[in-house]
Amino acid sequence: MKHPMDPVRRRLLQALGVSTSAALIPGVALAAKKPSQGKVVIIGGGFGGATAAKYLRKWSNNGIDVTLIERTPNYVSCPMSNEVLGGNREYSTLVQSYDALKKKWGVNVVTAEVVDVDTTARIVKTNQGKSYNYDRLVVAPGLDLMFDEIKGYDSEAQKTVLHAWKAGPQTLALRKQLEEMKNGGTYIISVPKSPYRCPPGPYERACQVAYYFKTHKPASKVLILDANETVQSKPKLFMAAWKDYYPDIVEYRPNWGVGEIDAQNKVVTSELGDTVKGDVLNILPPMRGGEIARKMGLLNINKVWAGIDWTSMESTAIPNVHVIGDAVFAAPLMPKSGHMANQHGKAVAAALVEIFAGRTPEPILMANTCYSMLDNKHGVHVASVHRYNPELKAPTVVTGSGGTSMEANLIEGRYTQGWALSIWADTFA
Amino acid sequence: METHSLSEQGGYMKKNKLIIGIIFVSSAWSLSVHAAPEKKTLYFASDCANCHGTDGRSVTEIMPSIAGQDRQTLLDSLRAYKSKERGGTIMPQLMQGYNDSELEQLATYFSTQKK
Repeated sequence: MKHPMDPVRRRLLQALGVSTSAALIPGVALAAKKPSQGKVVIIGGGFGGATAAKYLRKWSNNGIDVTLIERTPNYVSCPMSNEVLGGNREYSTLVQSYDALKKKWGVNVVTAEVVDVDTTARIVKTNQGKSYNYDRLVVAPGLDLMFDEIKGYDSEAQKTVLHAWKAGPQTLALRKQLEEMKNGGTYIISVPKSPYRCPPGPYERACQVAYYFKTHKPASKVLILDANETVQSKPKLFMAAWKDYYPDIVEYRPNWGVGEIDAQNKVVTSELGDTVKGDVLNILPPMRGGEIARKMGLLNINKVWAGIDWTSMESTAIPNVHVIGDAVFAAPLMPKSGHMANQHGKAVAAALVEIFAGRTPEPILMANTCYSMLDNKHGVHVASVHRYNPELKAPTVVTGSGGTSMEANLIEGRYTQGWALSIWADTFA
Repeated sequence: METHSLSEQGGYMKKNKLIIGIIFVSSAWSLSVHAAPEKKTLYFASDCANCHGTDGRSVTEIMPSIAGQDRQTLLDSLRAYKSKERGGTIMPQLMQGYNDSELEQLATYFSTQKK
């Protein structure tokens, strides 16, 4: 009895150059490699890019070829890095390997810097002289810091005034400055105008540094200079922590935008001319989408953020290029967080699986959770669920969903630790 | 369209065939849902992975694994979080963002994942 061959199977075999008679021998066709459903190159291996790489492979049953190009051989997690500053975590636990993406998921991980992208010919070139073709490009560039926006924050000043807003060597260098600071000194952290990466981050950092001072240098101070009119995330919870846990240590000043710094004398001047002096300066300049996105012309919203179509995460500036993570012009109340970047990674993976299958992608539901550690064991959260709103053509927070902790608590201190282990594994393993 | 009165023998036979057909189709549908969830479910169920692990298999004892749990137990939990009958820190807040059909899809999806 002759069975007609499934047309998809026939196409696969023809693509492989296998004759149809050979294909009737059991095992012959199955043993051969499946042809690619599509080629994706991803620039940037943070929470967004790494998640996109893993889930593209997972949801296509390894049918989509994925190349991930990342500058650094390992990823250092920004989430939980404040705990290193507080002395509550080993730096080594932040370091995430790309080995599982390579070996378990079959992602071609390339350690290199992208030097050019030809979006017409669809070719990405690296500083190692290699080129990578793509059908679709995902740009997950993270953020860059706009030092030029603050007078005196030049390359020389940057040697001693740290941001540590990209976890890595600066995290360790800032911890060292805190350790070397005398008891009775002042640590100053400045918060730029929103939106910036990780809305609760600066306030959590203030808590972690205050915890270190309380337990090691109790005469020292933490001064928060906030360019915004109030605390940008979990305000009641952070303000309660400063009052209850660190009453003589933390001082918060709203509407205090940094205009100038004098790195040598460690003096900070506000946009209105007020000055304060500190011993350790931790100045966070305003932020924009990462440099590669700027060079490519993807930052089409005020030259700062990348506009996207939320049904597919495709750039509104360049076709076949998708942008995810912190660099995206965020939807209303959508934070620039590692958790959200992971969700963007899944959204773009889903969209590309659909596109390569010849279907129209539909926007997926996304959720966010940001935990913060207030000391060595108490945690708090903020959460939200984001559903696509066809009228606004962007996701909005589902009415009644999400919220914050009622108060600081021990259970969520544990959940914070569990969340970190889970999201690292979901992204990189 | 052909219609038959149930008082006719042929009508009974047709109805029996129809019933058998429905049982067959519904079990096939149920099998297909269990074997390969719709892509759409697969996509949004991944929201849960950030805390509960990829496919609901947690990598830490701090967060509960939800893969391979009994479907009804999962669904009851999700509904109880949504109605706030069940307390918690974050789950009652997150569940407000999902509709009843989505809760069912999530329960089906995670109950069919390997532990």
